[in-house]
Amino acid sequence: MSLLSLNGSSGYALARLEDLISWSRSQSMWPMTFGLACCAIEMMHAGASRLDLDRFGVMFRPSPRQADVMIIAGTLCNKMAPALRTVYDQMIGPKWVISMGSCANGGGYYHYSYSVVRGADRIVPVDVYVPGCPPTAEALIYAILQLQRKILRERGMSEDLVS
Amino acid sequence: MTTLHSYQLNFGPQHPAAHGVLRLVLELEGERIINVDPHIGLLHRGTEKLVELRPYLQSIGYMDRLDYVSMLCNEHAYVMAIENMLQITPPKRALYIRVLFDEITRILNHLLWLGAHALDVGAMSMFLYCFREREVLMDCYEAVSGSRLHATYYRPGGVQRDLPDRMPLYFKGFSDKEKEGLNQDRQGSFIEYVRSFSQRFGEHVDEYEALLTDNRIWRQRLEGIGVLTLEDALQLGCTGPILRASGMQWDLRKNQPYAVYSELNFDVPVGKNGDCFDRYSVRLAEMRQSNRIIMQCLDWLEANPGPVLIDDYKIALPPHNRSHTHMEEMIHHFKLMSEGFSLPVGETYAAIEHPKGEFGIYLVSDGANKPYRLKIRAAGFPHLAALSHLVKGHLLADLVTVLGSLDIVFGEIDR
Amino acid sequence: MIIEERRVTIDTYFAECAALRDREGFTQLTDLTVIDYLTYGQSEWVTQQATTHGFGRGKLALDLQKGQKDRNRFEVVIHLLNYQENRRVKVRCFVPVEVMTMPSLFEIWASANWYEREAFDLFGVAFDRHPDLRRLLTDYGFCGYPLRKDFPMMGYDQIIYDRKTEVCVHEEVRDRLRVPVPKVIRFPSSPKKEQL
Repeated sequence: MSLLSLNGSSGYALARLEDLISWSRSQSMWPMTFGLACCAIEMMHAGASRLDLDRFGVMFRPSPRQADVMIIAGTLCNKMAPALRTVYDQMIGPKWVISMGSCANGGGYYHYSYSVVRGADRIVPVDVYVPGCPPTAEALIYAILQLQRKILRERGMSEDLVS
Repeated sequence: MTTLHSYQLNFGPQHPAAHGVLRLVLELEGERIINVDPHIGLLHRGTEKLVELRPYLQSIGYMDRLDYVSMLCNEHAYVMAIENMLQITPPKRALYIRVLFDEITRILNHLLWLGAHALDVGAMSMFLYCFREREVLMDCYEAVSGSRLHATYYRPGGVQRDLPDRMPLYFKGFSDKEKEGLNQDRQGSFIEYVRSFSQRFGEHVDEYEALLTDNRIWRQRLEGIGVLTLEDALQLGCTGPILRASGMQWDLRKNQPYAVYSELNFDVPVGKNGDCFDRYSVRLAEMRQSNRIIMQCLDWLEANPGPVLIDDYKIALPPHNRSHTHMEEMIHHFKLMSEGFSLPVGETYAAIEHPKGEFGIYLVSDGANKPYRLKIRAAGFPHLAALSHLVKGHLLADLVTVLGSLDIVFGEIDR
Repeated sequence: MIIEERRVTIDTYFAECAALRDREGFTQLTDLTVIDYLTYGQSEWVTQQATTHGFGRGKLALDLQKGQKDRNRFEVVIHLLNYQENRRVKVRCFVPVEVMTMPSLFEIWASANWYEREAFDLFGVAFDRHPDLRRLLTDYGFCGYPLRKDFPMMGYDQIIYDRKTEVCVHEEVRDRLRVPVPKVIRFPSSPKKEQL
């Protein structure tokens, strides 16, 4: 689906507003650092020297108020779940969630434990699941690119009505 | 007349400087800390109970995930405990490979510690430099086990496979000139790859020292902060670099040697004052000593080929190509994978010099194929308990410095 | 490294530990842990003889009722380290089951603080004269002592977000535990605890 149609002679371009909004949202996703366990290390590697996330417009923000993506990296425990929900609620819509690693996807290696939430989607709605234990930093970048494609498919304007 | 009252502040579980999930309830008077109450358990996953569910071989992965920045060292303690109970010794080449990877892991840990600590204190570019080195070492993990982070590589009886004689090369997506640059170190075998890293690493540590050690801001923020006397360090259960920074000449690799540390030459750096700066200096010096050990191991490994896993198929898997074609090997493979080996009745405590301190595994067995009780003595647990002692009277910003210098990773504290 | 083992009774526990620090120079408490001997020596699958009930999926349930009130059910094990002489020692003491309380070693070694809190949290062994005995690792308001053998692996309740009330609530765990490999005892069939 083409984003713009250019009229070569007159020097103007046309685009749908919804597409422009989706495009701008996808190209500057600011994740919130929600590194809980080992996957946080791979997340740091994705943002560090070899695989730079900054070139995708992704800047890690420490405050939920300034972020629009939450990457849940690591095992979510029962004690941490209310804190996770509080932080998610503090994020301002439109917001997305990437569940990174098998612990966040469905309990993972610690599924049978008494103190682990069997999947972060029991607490927050998740958009992209990244499999792996831990997913390599490249896999996380692939997931971010997938989320970008998902955002591009979304209708830009109507999202604001449902936060 | 105005009176000062203290107030409570929540240094919440989600915080950029909280090093994972740590919740501190601070009692402050202005900026000065009166008391710190750490609330841990936000990453308590019940590892000790889950390990009682699975046979010994299937639990090696749990050990990786304890201190998730120094993976193979945790595995080493666990595997050593099982070997103590079974009274087996791995072949010498396996021990040298274990020492090599333990030291690679030590450098990995200290690099992440340095990057994160400097990031917290404010020197942000250190993070990128340290992670650049870490990527090379993660490639080492990947070459030998397939996984960058959680390499379930050690086994009771040795290591799973020998060092590869070729490294993976970049082949797609780069121009030829770029590829030449990227593949420069990867032309030879694994040993040559690590050797080229090891030869460069001394200069990199010099770079880090040049950036930080004589830096006025760094010194002011670290010197005299979080002073821990030797007496207190012993009472509070501190081990490892923290104990050495307080003045104790003690390293399990020298005092209670395991693997092949008794055959290697290296020094143990010891500090004087027990403040954050000494802890920083000790760890930086340890990185250099680890580099020295790595070079010695590489020389030995290159000169001495041999088996890397014991021959006893009742404990260690038979070679893969034989287990599909020969009956005995197939039977042993089946029994090992379905039931696992059983340990005799008894118990053992195996401790190693982990990058963070003394990491011990206390294993109690009742003769079964699963552990009866596995207690993980994490190095960081007493260190975090000592936090409230260390920061009394300091300012809030110093709390971040002290927390960073303690090198806390929640995987092993909360288990 | 040979670790010497000493067994003490509850009456001499504190005095022996103080003597170990003062007279024998064990300056550091490395570890303090509790062992629950409820299912010690029990097997989930009988392998040595043919039975009428030990085959097929082959799982016998562990008997969790038999040893509940046993006098020697819980044992506290301490590891100490003497830096000057490079020695390690292990001290064991059975916890009196009627009161489930041990004297705290905090006055002897400060590192006992969190280790005893953890033992209290995970096993329910209380420590007398401990400065601050609260739960450490488990959730706020958690009921039960997780590492005891009669506590189910998956626990009793879990947390889920309730969209109607917009809070995180506890709900009952309805999943069943899938034991991948049954516990099999291949070595001496009736180990005695006193032999350890």
